[in-house]
Amino acid sequence: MNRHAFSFGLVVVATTCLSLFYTEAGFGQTNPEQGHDMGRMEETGAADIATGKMIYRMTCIHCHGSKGRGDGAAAIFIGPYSHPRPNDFTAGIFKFRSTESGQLPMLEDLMRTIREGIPGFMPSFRNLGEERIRQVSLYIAREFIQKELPTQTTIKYVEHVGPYTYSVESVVRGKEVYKRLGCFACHGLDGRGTGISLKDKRGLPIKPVDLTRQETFGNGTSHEDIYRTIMTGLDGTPMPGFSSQFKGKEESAWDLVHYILSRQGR
Amino acid sequence: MRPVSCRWNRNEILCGLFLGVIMITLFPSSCFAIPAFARKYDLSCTSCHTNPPRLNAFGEAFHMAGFQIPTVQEGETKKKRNIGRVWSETDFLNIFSFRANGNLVESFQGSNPDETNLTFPRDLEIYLAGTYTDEISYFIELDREAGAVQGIPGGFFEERSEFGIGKEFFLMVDLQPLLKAPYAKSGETMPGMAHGEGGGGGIMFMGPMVMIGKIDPSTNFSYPTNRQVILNIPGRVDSGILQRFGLTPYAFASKFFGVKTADGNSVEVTKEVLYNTPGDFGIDLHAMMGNLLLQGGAMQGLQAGNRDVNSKKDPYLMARLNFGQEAYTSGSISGLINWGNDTAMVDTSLVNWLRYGFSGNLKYKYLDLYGAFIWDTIRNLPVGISSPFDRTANGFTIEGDYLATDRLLLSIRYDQLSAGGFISQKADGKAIAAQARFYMRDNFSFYLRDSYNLEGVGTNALRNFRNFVALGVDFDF
Repeated sequence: MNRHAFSFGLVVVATTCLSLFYTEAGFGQTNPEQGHDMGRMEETGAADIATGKMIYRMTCIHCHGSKGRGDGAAAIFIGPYSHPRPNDFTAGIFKFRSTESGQLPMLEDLMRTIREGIPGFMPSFRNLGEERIRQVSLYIAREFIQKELPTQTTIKYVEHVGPYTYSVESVVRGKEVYKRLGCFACHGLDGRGTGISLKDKRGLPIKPVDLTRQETFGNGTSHEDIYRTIMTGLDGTPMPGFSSQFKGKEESAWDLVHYILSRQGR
Repeated sequence: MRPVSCRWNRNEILCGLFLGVIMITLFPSSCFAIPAFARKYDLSCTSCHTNPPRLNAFGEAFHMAGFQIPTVQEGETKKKRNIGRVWSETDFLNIFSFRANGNLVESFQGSNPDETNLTFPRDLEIYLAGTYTDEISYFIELDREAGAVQGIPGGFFEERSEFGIGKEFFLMVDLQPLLKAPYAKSGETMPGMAHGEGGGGGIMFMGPMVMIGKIDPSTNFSYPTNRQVILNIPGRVDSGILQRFGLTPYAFASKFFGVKTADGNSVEVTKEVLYNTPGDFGIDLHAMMGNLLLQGGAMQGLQAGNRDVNSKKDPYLMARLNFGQEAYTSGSISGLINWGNDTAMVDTSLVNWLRYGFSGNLKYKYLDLYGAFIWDTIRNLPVGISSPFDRTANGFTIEGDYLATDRLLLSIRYDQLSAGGFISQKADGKAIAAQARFYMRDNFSFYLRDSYNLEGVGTNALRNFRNFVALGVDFDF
């Protein structure tokens, strides 16, 4: 046997053996028995969880990893040497919630993040459809968070109507709120988010959002999205929630929203 | 030392500089590789790439799904906030990209003669890429390459500057809708997924996808030909004689001295060919099942272009196994076999060409390691050829890239060629290259590189420089 025939044989045999071994050993596949039974989650159909798992393994796994720790193969380059990184679901810290700071998100919060994506870092999965978004959210909750998600929030979300609508007076009041709450300490007096070095919970450098550029808003850009972000904060980052400061004074929160919108010319 | 020369005319340089300044100024959010996709999905480049044009696991899945987010087949129905809508239905900037890359200053030392060139980036590429329907995607590349070495009849070569169809120009069709029924053992719920019995433990399918046109079949190999962080060094021709071979990843090179295409054109020894061509006409079928990717196809022939000079075609098979999806780790190994069917010519006889080999890739945090070992054998060599001929050859290439800071990418590559062909002409080669690439902006970087010929200067064109230094630029929109 000449050396080329030997080398060729080696390549074929090695590739075949490794493929078979890998498939038989089940590497790269999580154990379906791993999921814990948890109250309401038990009531969800196994088919929903299974479909959610499939979606996760085809799409989410590359960034969030097979164990939901945010350490997938593509994770580190999302923010090389800086914030953000894909979320570690097992740590129980979630930026995007409608619940109080420190609490877990509601299922709808997970669904909203999947549906809308995070500009610059996570694509929108809107075209997946609501049912499949719900299924993958259920899978994440059951497999990685492993705790029952809250079904309601104590934060008061008043509708953007009546006294809470946009007005010049509201913007002026919002500017005062911006100063009173010390938002300028991170976002700057002009709202451009310059001049301060911050770190997130992982110790990665993070820049305060430039309030004049809506495309930098990870948690959504609608009036309601900004209201929610102010109230809940962004856990895992230096951005605190201000729900306690606005308790019973929700119109002031809307004033702040209007001031931020005015910085964007909206 | 040869006087400083310039391979582009003044108007071309001024036009290019003008466009470059405009695009850098107006579109700072674009990025390397295919920024149209980044614009379309409102993502950063590093969502799909480690160090562009290298793909990360998500980028590979995106490519595998036909330039779409896996599981979200959306065709052109997805509309996002963007730089500005040009067409009413399709945002043109979501499918259009432009890239210019190449050396600005290049210097060969120890060559005969030494030369230093001021030059403008040799490669200008325009892309139109996207999805036409949920199942059909397209990739259209127009390319302007200056001073490309081309073989011509009679054992000669020439340098050409051409504008036309680029390295790739193809349609990709997802055949899964046609094959949906066989997968649905226990109630398939969506494309790309097949549930096993009991649900939740099934195997994931992607594809099969067909690529037709001018393709780079190695796009799914663990070491794809077209994803080079350290760019190729072009060869040099003087009066039809090759004075200096180009420097490419030797694993992918043709490796044989004195071999010609089926229609008699000379083939540069370091030209990437067959399965590892940067692009040629053919048809490709690939599918992913779990972590195993299988690929098969056929190419028109060795550097055949669209000329039907090889009626038998060159089939290939490739298998790739992926591993790692956590702890910032991923990788793959690939095995390849490629049969060149009367694809080349030695003297005046058509010969078969067997190519096989493997490649591997390991990514861990900011480190990206990849390499390939390819063997080549010329079969059915005719008796009585003009001089002794070594019908075997192999090449080995390994590269490591490390993102040292968020702006600085360090790379090192080693190439080794054990050449075949006419013994009177052939020479082996070893070269090592190091490069530092600094990203001024997301879509604009400078690089400084050095390639050192470990075999030393010799009379053969493969060895006619000792050291090569270049300062270059990579820009795209």
